[in-house]
Amino acid sequence: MVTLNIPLFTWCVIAFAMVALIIIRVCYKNYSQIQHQRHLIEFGKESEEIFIPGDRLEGQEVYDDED
Amino acid sequence: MMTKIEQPMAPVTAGIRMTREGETVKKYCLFLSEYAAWLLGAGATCIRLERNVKRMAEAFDHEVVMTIMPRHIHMTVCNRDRSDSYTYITALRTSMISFDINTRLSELSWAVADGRLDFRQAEAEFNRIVKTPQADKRLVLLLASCANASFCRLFGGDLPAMAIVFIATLAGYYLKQVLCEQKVDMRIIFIMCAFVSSVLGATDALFHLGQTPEIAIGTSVLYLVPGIPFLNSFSDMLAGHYICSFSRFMHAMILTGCLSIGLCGGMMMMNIGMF
Repeated sequence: MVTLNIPLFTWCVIAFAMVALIIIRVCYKNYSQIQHQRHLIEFGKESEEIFIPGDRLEGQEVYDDED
Repeated sequence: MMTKIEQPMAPVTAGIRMTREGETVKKYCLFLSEYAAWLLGAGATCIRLERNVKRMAEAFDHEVVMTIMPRHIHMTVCNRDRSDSYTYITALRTSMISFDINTRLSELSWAVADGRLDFRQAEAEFNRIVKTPQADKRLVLLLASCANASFCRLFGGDLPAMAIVFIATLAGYYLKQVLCEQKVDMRIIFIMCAFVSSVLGATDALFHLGQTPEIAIGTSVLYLVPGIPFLNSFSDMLAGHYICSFSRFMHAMILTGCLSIGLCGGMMMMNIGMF
């Protein structure tokens, strides 16, 4: 009859649980970083595509500018 | 004929007495209490806290009296002629123990005392210091593991024991960081980390890898020993701050008890005799 080796079983459970925790956390972090990256195809603004030096920058306040 | 020489009075604006720099006693009190709360939260002893705060208060030409409780600071600031005073009770900033913040706050107090910074500049510098980001967690993890492996060597552990202690500490400390992020109770964290580290530290005994398995188990949980609370408790006791001293001692004892529970649990599961 095979008896359960409790120390070995405990060691395996803890070791594999820690390895799994580390792998899951690393994968989750990488996935989160990918989510924050820019997409390959996305809708952009006209100013992002066509910009001539001297054009008004985004967020720049120009008073009395009604073009 | 006697002439009465009048002392130059501080200007009074809308019922609030202003000091020479135009700051009110209230502003000094709020700043000093915030400073004290951060310094205590960063792991400073009561004697250091008292000295630093008094040093700055004297530089601001004020007097300060405070009661340091385990989780609160009760502070009264008054001007030299005691015509105006302000009392404020602030709660301890529950930041992690940080030697960096501790040192920089002490430097700030010396800069104020030496006259290199006025009140406004001191406030700005204080705000910069408290926004200091924490040390890189991965670096701390690696260094703590190396330190524990070195402890194992100091206690006479061989190379396999050192490697096992390094991995056991790495796993336990990583678990501690993850659980701290999840805001789990510190006592539960200590029990869990001590259990995990002791089970992994028993690898040497389980697989017969080296000659010093008992040292590997014993030193695998050393990173959890609350050394700073014990040292601060002793320092506070010598300085006569018995309430803070007792509070810190009890806190350290509870954490040590939790560590022991985890360690005993791990050793029991791994069939390793304690005595």
